[in-house]
Amino acid sequence: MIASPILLSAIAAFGAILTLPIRRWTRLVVPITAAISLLMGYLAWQSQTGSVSFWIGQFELTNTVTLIGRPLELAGWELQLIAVLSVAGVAAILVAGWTRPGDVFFPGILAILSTTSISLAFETLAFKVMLVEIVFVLTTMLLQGSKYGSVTGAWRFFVFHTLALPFLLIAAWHIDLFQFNPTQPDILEPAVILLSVGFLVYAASVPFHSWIVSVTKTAAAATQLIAFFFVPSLLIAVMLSAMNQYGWYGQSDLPYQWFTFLGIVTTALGGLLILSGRSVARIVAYSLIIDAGSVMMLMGTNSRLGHIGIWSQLLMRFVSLIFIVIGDHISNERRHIDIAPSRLSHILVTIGMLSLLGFPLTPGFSARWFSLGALGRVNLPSALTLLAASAIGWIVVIANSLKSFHKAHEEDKTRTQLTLGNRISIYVFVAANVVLALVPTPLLDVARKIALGIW
Amino acid sequence: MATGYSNSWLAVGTSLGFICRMFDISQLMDMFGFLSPTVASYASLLLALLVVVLPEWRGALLALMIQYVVAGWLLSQELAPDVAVLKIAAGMVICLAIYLSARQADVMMTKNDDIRTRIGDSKPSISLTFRLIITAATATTVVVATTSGYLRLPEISGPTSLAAISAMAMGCLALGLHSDPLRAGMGLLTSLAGFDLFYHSLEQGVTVIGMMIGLGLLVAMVISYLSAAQYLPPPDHEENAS
Repeated sequence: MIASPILLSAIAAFGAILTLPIRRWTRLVVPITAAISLLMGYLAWQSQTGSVSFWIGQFELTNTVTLIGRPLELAGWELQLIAVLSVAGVAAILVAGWTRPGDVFFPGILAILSTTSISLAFETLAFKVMLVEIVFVLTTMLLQGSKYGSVTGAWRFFVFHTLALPFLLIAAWHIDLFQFNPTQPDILEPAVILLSVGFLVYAASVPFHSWIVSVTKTAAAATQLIAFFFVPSLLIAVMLSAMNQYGWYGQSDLPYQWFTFLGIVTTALGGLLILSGRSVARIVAYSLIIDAGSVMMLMGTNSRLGHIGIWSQLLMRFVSLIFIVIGDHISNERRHIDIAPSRLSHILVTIGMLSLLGFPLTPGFSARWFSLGALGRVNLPSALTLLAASAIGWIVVIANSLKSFHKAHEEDKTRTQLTLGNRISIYVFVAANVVLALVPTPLLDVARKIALGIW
Repeated sequence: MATGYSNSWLAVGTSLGFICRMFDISQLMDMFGFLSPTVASYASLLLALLVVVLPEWRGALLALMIQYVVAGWLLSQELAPDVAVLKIAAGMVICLAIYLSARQADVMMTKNDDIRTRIGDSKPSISLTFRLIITAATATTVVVATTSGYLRLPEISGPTSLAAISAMAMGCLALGLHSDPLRAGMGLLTSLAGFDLFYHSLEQGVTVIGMMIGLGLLVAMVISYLSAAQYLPPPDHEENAS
């Protein structure tokens, strides 16, 4: 019997140690890192069935184990989430292999996957939170990479996330105390408040949202996939599992009221700020603030549909960011050799930004409209706020894109020499966008499985 | 930077072992026999204030180092003395790691005028007078609120409560007043030291204490890494120099 929580974490940790000395040989480290991430995804998926088969034989797996006197258990939805994160990790690694965000990225992402799986497995909140803090440390290192100069993005990311640690640790102490004194429910009153404050910090609620702008402005594009998809996925899993695990917290009205109110404020603020967006980094940041606000409002609904909406939005956020990262990289490459950004990069970045805001005929559309439906059933003002913020975002993105298209048309001397490769790439990316927009079912199914697993 | 960075952490590891072996724990605690909890809590407040106010990073780091000793002594009133000494040793290691990175950054900045200009231009300057006024106001508020019993942390004694709240408040203030990861980082560490005082009075499990020490070291690693990264010369600068 092999314990899957230990196995998954150990494989990724071993991969991180293995790839650390060879991190600079991109052609070697990319396939190795991607293979380890894929293997981790396969094992996580197979762990649900209780056994895994290789050419050397069949191994029995158990999802429960005790480590340092604490129970570790990976539920079905946690295994599905690890599998999804590992597969997304493969995509991120391939994109990073091309965009080269810094050589620590490859061992770093494996270390993050390793810490993520072990933190999901811990049942004790204090340990979970401390392991999540290690994920923040690793992400901070990746966001800075080996870059010189501005450290604002990485620093703010670290500080704003670390602020949640004291609240959650004290809440965890109250929870432990309650287990020894189950006849004194008043012990839990501070725990409800502390957990809610800690989770709002995690969810990048106003006023803890400002790190988002700094990260999009200063961090390498590929590392933003970690900060805006992998880390939020882990945090939302921690939050939702706490709501599920601690019935007294999940049944209390206070967290849902706070999440709904601050979600509306965050979304509205994002919608107002995006009006001032003139650069891609800022527009992406404000779109992400709107997205974070919508996730909070969906958490506030405390409904099955709300949970599906959260995971759908997160998955589509990843897809949207992939478009932006690729487009941004092409644009930077061309700027580096004094050529104006190409039409391909403009198209990709525009698709990515519109998708992030849930514009029709982009991948993000299905998730955003699903979320609007889920919000509208429970709380109409929050649905209207999200719709208004998204609509403002669409107008700003389209206006800015038309302006920069026009500028590029004047500046780009090579526009008449659009190569066949460029032309094919444009068609491929636009087709991928349309396919993902028109056939969102596989991704929504994954979101539904994870959400219903928690629910 | 990578070699210098590894050397810093090697030095850190060696010194941790050295500090742990150097003293007999009871002897070490006897050295602070002159302290009373009330004196220690006011000393902690003053040291936290110095971390925010002092303009020179070396002075602030020294204040942080003494803060770890005072906090450790206060913790020894609640925890087993050997655990408190371990916390002090970890604090020393954190300060040593930050000192080594900050000194490296200082050398890089002195050598390259353009880096100094770049960093200098990007930093907002908050005057010493303003820092003094705002820290004095915060310190007064904390002392009045804590001693009057209006603000008191549960399950811990009054002096420990004052030390913990003042360190957390001053640390948060330093985070707001400094944009540089080195100085703001010292604020974060002060804040975490204050939180440790409170949390370890409640939660005394050895595993939790060990994990908190590990987290403290990781936070110090992030601070020293970002402090050094900020002052790195751009790649073309390195090529020209070679």
